[in-house]
Amino acid sequence: MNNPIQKILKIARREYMEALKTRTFLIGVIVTPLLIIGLAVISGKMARDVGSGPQPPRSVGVVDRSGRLAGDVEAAFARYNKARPQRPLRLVAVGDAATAPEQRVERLKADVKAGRIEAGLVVAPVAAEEPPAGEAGPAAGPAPRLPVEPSRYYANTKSVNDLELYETVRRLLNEAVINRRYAAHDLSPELIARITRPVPLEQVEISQKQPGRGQASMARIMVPFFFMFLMFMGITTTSQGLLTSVVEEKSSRVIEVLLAVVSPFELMAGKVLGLAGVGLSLIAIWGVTGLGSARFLGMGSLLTGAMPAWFIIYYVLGFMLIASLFAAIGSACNTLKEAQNLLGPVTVLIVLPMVLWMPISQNPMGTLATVFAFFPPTTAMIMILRLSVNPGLPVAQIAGSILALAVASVATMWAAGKIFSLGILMYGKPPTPRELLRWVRYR
Amino acid sequence: MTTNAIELDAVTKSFGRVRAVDGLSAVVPAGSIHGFLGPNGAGKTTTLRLIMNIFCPDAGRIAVLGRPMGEAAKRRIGYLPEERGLYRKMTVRGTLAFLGGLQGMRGAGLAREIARWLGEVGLDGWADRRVEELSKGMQQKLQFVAAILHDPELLILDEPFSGLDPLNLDLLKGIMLAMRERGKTVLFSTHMMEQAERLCDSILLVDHGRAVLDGPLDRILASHRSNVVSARLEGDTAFVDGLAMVRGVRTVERRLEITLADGADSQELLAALVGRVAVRAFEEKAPTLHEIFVQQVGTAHE
Repeated sequence: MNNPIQKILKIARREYMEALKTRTFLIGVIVTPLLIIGLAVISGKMARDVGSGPQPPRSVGVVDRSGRLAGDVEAAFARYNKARPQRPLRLVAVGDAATAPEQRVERLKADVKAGRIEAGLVVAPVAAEEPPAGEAGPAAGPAPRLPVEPSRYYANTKSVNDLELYETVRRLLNEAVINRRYAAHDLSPELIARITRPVPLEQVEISQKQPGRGQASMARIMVPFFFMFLMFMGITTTSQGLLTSVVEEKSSRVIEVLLAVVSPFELMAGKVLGLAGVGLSLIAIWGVTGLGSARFLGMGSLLTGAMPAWFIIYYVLGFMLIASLFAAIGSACNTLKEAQNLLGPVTVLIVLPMVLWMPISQNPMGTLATVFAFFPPTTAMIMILRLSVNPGLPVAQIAGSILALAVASVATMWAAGKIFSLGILMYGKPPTPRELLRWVRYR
Repeated sequence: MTTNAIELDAVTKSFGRVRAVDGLSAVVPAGSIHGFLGPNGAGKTTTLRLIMNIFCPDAGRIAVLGRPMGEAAKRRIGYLPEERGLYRKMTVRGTLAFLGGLQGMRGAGLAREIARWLGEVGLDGWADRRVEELSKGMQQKLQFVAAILHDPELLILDEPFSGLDPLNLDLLKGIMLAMRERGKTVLFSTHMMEQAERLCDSILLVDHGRAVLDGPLDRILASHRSNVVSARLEGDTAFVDGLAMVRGVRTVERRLEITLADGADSQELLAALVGRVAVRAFEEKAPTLHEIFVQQVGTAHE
């Protein structure tokens, strides 16, 4: 009638219902999906074209101190505007030839400072100077370096971070000067462009399972990361919630009222279960929005049918393991601050897979991947990463890792239960990790 | 109901080098109100936690309601811990529904009992308020209700009276007495000797984790007859101090408090007084539980 399972379920239900009311959960449910969708929309837009509608032109002031390059620069800017009519650059000559160059530079600086132009370009007097005759050949020794005044790009505090504008201006100046040099050698810029045009090289990936399934390489890396990150968030946010709940119950002295009715292990198991439910709810919401966004971006076909099932299995087992560690630590401490100090080693275990993301997603069958897949604290995240990179993982590895994780989770829960039942009524100085281990051996 | 509700047999529990309970043996007879007394740090709370299976004893046996203590027995016990708190954000009704549900109560029966008990302790208007809105005394009553909601056979209360005003104190005592009327057993720890003396059928006095006194209260009071006589005498009483059976005389207001020598009988004193002075009042001073407590614990600490 009132067996331990029912008690555990009742505690789990309360824990779940209370978690739904917290601000953290609301943020997780509403804000995170909005962020995912927002990112998807923005990157989708960026992928198609920067700015779908015409944007106002940006003006760049120029002072040509060489006296020879104005035409070339103007031509380069014109070619740029023709290629990208959506966001043109307007070249503004500052002053005329009659004005002294120094005065024109000062005016240019003032215009940049006042924001009348977004950036200013001063072309150096010797920008297009040829190297002295006889030193251009490869056999020649190092040229004697003359102190050369460089061309300058001026930007105010508002536009200095617009690296794209700087890069564009730099490229256009380069183009103008190089074209000038071609002309000096009687070379036609068009001919040079034709000769140096790139050779197309198509990248084709041969995957083990489905040969020829071409996917954008970005998606090949990002989708597995998304799954692992989902696992990471699912485990950490709820484990943190569990820790808070335990510490709060302890400091508000609710614990002993509960222990009058349930055993410490039932209490801990109920809490872990309830928060696993919270985690699954969050993951379901994040997963649906995330995958919807992936479809929107055209990356959706990487999901295989079995993935949600693997995810749930690995999540529940992996969460049990990590959450019981959090619960044990929480039970031994009186404040969240004390708990944070003891949490360090556990946090390292959780973050480890994130660090290993790159090497493992590039080589999901390698030694590194296999070792960490069978190291229980990292199994859940690593296996989800491997499975989403390579859905055709050997069944023996999947079954073996689930078994190993299940055994480790139950063992951890048992040990954590020992610590929990002792720690939960201890007030005062928090124990050291060594003391915690000794508690496990207590009867 | 001839069995014992609780039996402790040479129970020992240590924390590190501190021996909180040291070979404690005691019984709590079923159907009685049993007081659990002792100075601070005597091991009372630890003993109650051992009985509740919250701690495991290092040695010894504990039987509750006729069986070795285990999780299954918790349903038949109501426990009010000394360290008590409730979920601050939950409503009064929600709290009781949750704890009652954990005790296996459900549905209409649970709702009815919640309503009845809230009425009984005067919290009926507060059912849908949050626990944090309640005063401290109200929270304490709520906790008491949480402990007895499932109508346990055995009620274990750790310091139930601390922080209660006289009205609520009487309310709680009334409920405890009513429980006994219905054949239930109540075990409570307290520092309030006066309350214990009025309420208890039997007591257990512990010190340093060991039983100092154990048994029915009237028998304990009787066996601690004092050797002090309070008398109101008229006439010249100067001779009294010189009597062989008298150890000392003290004047308290208009009475004499005469302490008898060891082995002396108060009736001999009375016989010696009659005729020499007029005896208006003559009374053996019965020791209070308070005095017994101070005497027992004081001796042990010397």
